[in-house]
Amino acid sequence: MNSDKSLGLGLIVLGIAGIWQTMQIDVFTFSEDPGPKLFPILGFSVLVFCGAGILLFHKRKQIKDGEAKLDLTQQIRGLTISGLLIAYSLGLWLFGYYLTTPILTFAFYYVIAGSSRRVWWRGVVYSAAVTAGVHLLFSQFLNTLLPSGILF
Amino acid sequence: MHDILASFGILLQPATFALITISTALGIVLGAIPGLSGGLGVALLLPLTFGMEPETGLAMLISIWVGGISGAMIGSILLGIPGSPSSIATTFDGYPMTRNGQAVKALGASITASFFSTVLSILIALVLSPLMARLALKMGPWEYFSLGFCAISLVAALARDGVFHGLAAAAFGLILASVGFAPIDGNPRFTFGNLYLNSGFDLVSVMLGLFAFKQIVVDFAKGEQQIPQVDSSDIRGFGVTLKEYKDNIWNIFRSFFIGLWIGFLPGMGSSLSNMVAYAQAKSASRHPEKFGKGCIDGVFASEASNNAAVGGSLIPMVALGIPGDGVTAILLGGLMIHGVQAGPLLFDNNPEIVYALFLTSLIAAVLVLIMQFWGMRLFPAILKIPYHYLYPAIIVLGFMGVFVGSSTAFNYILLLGFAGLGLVMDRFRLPVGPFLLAFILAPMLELNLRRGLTYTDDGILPFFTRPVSTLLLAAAFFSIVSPYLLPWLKARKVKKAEANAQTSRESGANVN
Repeated sequence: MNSDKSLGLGLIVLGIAGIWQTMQIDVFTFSEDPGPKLFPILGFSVLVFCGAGILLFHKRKQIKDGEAKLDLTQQIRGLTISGLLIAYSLGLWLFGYYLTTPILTFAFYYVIAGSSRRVWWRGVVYSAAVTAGVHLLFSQFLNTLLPSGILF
Repeated sequence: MHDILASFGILLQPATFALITISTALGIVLGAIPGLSGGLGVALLLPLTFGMEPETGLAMLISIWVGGISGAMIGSILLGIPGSPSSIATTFDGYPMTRNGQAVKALGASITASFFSTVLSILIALVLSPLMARLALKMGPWEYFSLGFCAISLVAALARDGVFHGLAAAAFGLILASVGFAPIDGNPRFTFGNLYLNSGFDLVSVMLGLFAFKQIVVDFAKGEQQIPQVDSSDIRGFGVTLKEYKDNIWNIFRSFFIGLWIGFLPGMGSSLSNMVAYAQAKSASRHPEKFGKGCIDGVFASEASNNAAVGGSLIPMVALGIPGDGVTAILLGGLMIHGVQAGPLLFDNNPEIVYALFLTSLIAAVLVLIMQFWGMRLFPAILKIPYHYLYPAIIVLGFMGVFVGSSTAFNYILLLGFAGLGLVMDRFRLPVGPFLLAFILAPMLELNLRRGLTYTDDGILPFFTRPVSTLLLAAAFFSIVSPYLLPWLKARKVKKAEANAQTSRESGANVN
């Protein structure tokens, strides 16, 4: 099955499930107001319509599908950076900005630079500079709060 | 005339002028940083103006706003990350131009289109404010709904992989924007008991997730860390040739009027105008296949339209007291805090404030032009920063950008979730443009749809009987069916011509 077929089917299933889920919203409306269900139902109906349209008019040849696919190494790289992003968001939530940012900025630098370009002391200086720069911009200049973390 | 000269006198006082200059520069910087915007600057610095004279305080806020709208294109063109929703369409061709080594040219086109549009829109606003405001009042919810629907259809119809892909992406935008309290009655939808979802998805998280974070993951996964080459050594002036300006005169004017019109409709604004103008430029172009690959026409269209909305959105704010978009709503709040009541009587009661608003915008536009002209050769230096230095800084700024809006860690989840959604959309070739446009317009669409259905006893009928609404819906319908209808009609015509030729050949043979 090419991506158009699976997309078409997926949209139809999602659309029907969405319409069903929207119907479960329990509301009382007054006068002629169609209520809060109408708009989402409209959106999900467009999904069903588009799913059917994609199934009917999908291109026979599997064009461009290969472009989007990543090989194993690329998938591992993608997962690595995604893992670091999740770690950063967790760190900000748990430990706050000042503890997490220097460590994770260094980690981002270290991973993105790769073995040929990374120099540890540059990474340390850079992480400190980014942490201080963002602190100055947000905390000092714009007078906003930076994440403080729930553990401290 | 006396009032205009008096306002000019106040604004050109050294201290006020210095404040305008600094605020404009600040607006450009905030606009260029992913996650921040001139609008955020206006909101954050509003309290600073409380102790100032009204003209000075408003001059400061207006300058940040104008600088922010113009500065948003820097991130769009150089990094492919729109600084604000007003420059989303600029990324479509601006970033590919950078990838093709034409960053300075893209910046030059953007700067000149922005300046032209800002100045012209303010001059028009200055003269036509009362008249245009009355015109806007004649539009009802039916026209607003149809306009929004038409805009989404126009953008969806241009999807590279077909109108169904574009519409499906737009439908996702509408559905995700439905999360949270519904308009009018405030019923929670699809929140599943999560309090953070009551106010819906944060737009900054959506934008940064879909553009910046998705791009960072994809680039790193594919190992694309080659820095685009920028050769600015032989660039003269703005880097755009006279022929390119000449070829785009109609495009710029059309985009300008789209921006002006959308800007002065209350509740609309530059977030919508740049997409519609881009869609129009592509569909009217003689070479639509070049769009999305680094076509300067797309940059002209987007930037001419978003800056036209500056003057456009000042019109309803000044003449009716109705904000054209979120930022003008804050500016309106600023006016009220200073004891100035915007509306039809503002011209009579506080003419100096009206002229100060317009003249500050003009001064800020000139300052933006000067600053960006000198800066356009320096901005591409961002591209010379290796990715291992650039990306970590963008990641940190992005996380802080989504945090400052609501001070909640839940926005981190949204940010990463929308980056994931961006990857899935890429996989299935669903375009981001229609998704984002629908997401931004959905609250306005729903509100006007429900108002339109309740204002009369005729139900859905007024949407199809009121002339402007009918026209807009017909345009929307045509844009959806035309990708299938036009080739079919063309094929039918060719077939008919072939059949006629065959018949005439046969009849000729019979005569012989």
